Amino acid sequence: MRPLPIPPAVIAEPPLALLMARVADGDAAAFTQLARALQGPGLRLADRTLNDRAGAEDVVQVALTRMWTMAARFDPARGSVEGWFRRIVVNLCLDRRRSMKLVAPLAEADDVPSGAPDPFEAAVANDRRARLGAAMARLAPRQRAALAMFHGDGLSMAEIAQILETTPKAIEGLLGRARMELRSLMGVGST
Amino acid sequence: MNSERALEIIAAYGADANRWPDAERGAVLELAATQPRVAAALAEARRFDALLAGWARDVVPSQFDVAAMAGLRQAAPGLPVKRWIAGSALAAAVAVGVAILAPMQDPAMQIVSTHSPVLSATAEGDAYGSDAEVFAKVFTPTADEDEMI
Repeated sequence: MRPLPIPPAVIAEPPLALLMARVADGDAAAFTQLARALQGPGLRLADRTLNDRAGAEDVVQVALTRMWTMAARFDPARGSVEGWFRRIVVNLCLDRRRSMKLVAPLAEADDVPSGAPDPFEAAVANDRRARLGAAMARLAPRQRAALAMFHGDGLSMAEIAQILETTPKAIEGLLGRARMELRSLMGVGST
Repeated sequence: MNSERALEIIAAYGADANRWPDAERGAVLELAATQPRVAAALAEARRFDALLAGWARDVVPSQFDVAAMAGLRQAAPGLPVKRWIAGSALAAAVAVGVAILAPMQDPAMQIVSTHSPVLSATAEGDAYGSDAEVFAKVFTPTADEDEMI
């Protein structure tokens, strides 16, 4: 019997830890694969933490480069490749926080133009997003990092605590305060 | 478990019970079913979760020049040259230090230096002062070095 061809989607990518081991040996092809797997999540985390697209791209560029040039420092016994990479990204973002400025003052959210075809629904959605973006700009980068990891990546309190080098209880408080501040800045429950 | 703790959990974790602490999940759900305040917080948290999830994920992707980054490490063959230069500089500095200090402690070494072919430099030292004398000592080959030359 002839074996059935395996559809491309079924062929599993090598696990990131395996790729990382090859990267540590200087395997550029493995680095390319690893970078492609991590750049998207890294950019989301950096963008949301910094609230600044250009800065986020810089951070991811540096983080990927560090992963490549310092691959030998990765210790699988201390955590996953994704966790290590997230930690690099978050630390780079927090290092930049002094040079950060508010990119969307809250007042701007009061006048949000909409070019979408359905004027009412789109305007409401745009307004809500703009208010959220403006409120996010008022939070500390550490709070935004925690929110991005919890709501975007689905990480647990313990995982976030490891990346931010604190305790799960402290992250619980950090997220609780962040959500409360956001609701207050946005005037929620009026969503 | 009281309603304040239930509100704290909802405030921090949101409305998805699967993400609440295992040990407290049942009690929070029970309070949400019986306490209007907790139920209202849960409903509000559900709307807010959706907004936050959209915020966290709605980021336009970028393509990074991974090939250029890979080239950074492949260009590393330049590094050994730099290390070689640094190593040579260090070795030269140590040699200079030894050459300056050793003759001061070992009279035999001074004898060697006075009989060296670079003695003329010492003679020049009379004209140029003590710096030229030091120069002569430093750059005077030892007997072994003489053989090599």
